[in-house]
Amino acid sequence: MPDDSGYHFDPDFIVDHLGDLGTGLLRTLAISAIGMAGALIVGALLGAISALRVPVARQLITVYVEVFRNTPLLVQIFFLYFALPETGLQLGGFTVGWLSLLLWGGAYNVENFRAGFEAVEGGYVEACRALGFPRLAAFRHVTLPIGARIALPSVTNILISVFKNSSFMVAISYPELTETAVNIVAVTFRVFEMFLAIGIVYLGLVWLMSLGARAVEGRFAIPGGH
Amino acid sequence: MIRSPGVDGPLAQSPADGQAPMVELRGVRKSYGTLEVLKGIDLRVARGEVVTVIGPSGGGKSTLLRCVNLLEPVTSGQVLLENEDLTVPGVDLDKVRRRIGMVFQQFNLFPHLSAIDNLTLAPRKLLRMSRDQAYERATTMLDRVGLAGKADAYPRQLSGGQQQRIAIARALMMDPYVMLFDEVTSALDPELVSEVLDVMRDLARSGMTMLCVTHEMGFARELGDRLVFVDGGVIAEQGRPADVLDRPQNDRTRQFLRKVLR
Ligand SMILES: Nc1ncnc2c1ncn2[C@@H]1O[C@H](COP(=O)(O)OP(=O)(O)OP(=O)(O)O)[C@@H](O)[C@H]1O
Ligand SMILES: [Mg+2]
Repeated sequence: MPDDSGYHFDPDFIVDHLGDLGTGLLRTLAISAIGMAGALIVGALLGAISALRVPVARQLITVYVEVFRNTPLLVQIFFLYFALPETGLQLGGFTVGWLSLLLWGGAYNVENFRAGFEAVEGGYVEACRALGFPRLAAFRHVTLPIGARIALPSVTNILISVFKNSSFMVAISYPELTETAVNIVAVTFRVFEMFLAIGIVYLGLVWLMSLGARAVEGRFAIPGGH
Repeated sequence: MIRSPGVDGPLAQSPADGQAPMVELRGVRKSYGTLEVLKGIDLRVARGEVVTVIGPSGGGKSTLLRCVNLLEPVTSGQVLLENEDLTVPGVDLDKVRRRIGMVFQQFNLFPHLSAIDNLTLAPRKLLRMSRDQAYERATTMLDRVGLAGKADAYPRQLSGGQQQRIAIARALMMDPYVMLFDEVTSALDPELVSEVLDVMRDLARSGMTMLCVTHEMGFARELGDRLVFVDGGVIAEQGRPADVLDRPQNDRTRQFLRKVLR
C-alpha cells in the first residue's frame, strides 16, 4: 500500500501476533475437525436410516434436516449459545462451536447420503437379495459402498463448508482464528494485513482439503467408470 | 451332478419315479394393486429339468420367475422347493434364496467389486467360507465359464457377455438346487450371445435344474426339456419344445411365434 493512502502496510506486525493467531487456528481446527467428523458420521447414519425407510425415525430425521437446512447457521449458533441456557442447558463456546457445525453439516450430509443411497440401481440390491443376503446385509455390502461413492463429492463439499463456517463463531466471541484476528485488529487497526493473512490461511487449508477430497475420490473410484 | 432317470422327456412334470419336483408352483397369483399379473400358475420343474419360458412382453414371465425365489411375495397360491412350502409363515426366505440361483438381463454384477470378489462375497459372508477356500472355488468357477484370466477385472471393464458369464458363476458359487434365468442374453450385442448360451448349455448338460425365460428359440428347442408359453398371466400352452414351436395348439402361441420367428 502506498504511503499517501494513509495506510502503512506492515507485514512484520503479523509476526508479533503469531502466538495468538496460532492458538486461534488450533481452535478453528479443533471445532472443524469434530464438526466435520460428526457431520460425516451423522450424515451417513441418518442418511442410511432414511434410505431404509425406517418408520418414525425417518420422519424425525426429515424434521431435523428441514429445520437445519432452512434456517441460517447464525440463528442456529445463537440458539445454542443464548437460547438453550434459558432451558437450563449452558454450553460453552467450544461446545457450541463444534456442535453447531456438526448439526448444520450433518443435516446437509443426511440429504447427500440419502440421495446417494437411493441412486443405487435397484438391480444390484436385488441381485444381492437373490443370493440370500438379508435386507440390512444387502444395504451394507451393496447400497452403502456404491451409494457412498455417489455421495462423496457433495459430502466433501459440505465438509469443506463446515470448515469455512467455523468463522461464524465470531458471533459468540469464541476465539478461533477469525475472532482472534478481529480482536487483534480492534486494538491495532492493522485491518489489511490481518485479514489478508487469515484469508491466505483459510485459502491454503481449503485448497489442501480439496486436494485430499479429490485423492479420496480417486482412491475409491470404480474401475471402468460410470 | 447326475440327471435323474425318467425326467428327460416332456412328461417330466410328473416324474415317473415318484420323485418330488425341484420347484413347484401351485395356483400362484400375483397382483400389484388392482393389476393381476399372474392369474393362477401351476408349474412343476423336475430335478435336472430345463424348462424354458416364452411369451409376449408384459405377460408375466419375469414376475413368475421372481415368485419362485419370492423376491416378489405371492398374493395367493404356493411355491414349493423340494416339497417345502415357502409361502407358509416362518420360512427363512434369505436362507432359501441361497439355494436358488438367479441371473438377470442386466447382469447386476456389483460394480465396486472385482470379478472374483463378486463371486466370493456371498459364500464368505453367508456361508462363512474361508477366504482361501472361497477364492479357490471362485477360481475354478471362473475357469468353468471361460474367464480364468479376468479374476481381478471390474465389471465395467468387461464386455456384456463376460459380465453375464461372471453373473452365472456368481450364482453357481452357492451350489443352487435350481437356476433362474431372466432373458440373460437380451441385453447383449448379437455376437456375444453365443458365449453365454454356451455356458448355459454346459450347465444344462451337467444336470442343473433350470427355469429360463428366453427369446432364444434355438436354445429352447435344443436344450429345453419343456417349453412354457406364458401370456396374460397364465400358462397358455406347454409341451415338448419342438411340438410347441412347430405345431402350436393355442391361437395366442401361434400369433406370438409368427412374430418372433419371422
Ligand atoms: N413392481 C411392479 N409394480 C407394478 N406392476 C408391475 C411390477 N412389476 C411388473 N409389473 C407389471 O406386471 C406385468 C408383467 O410384468 P413382467 O415383467 O412379469 O412381464 P414380462 O413377461 O417379464 O415382460 P418382458 O418380456 O417385457 O420382460 C406388466 O404389466 C408390468 O407392468
Ligand atoms: Mg421380463
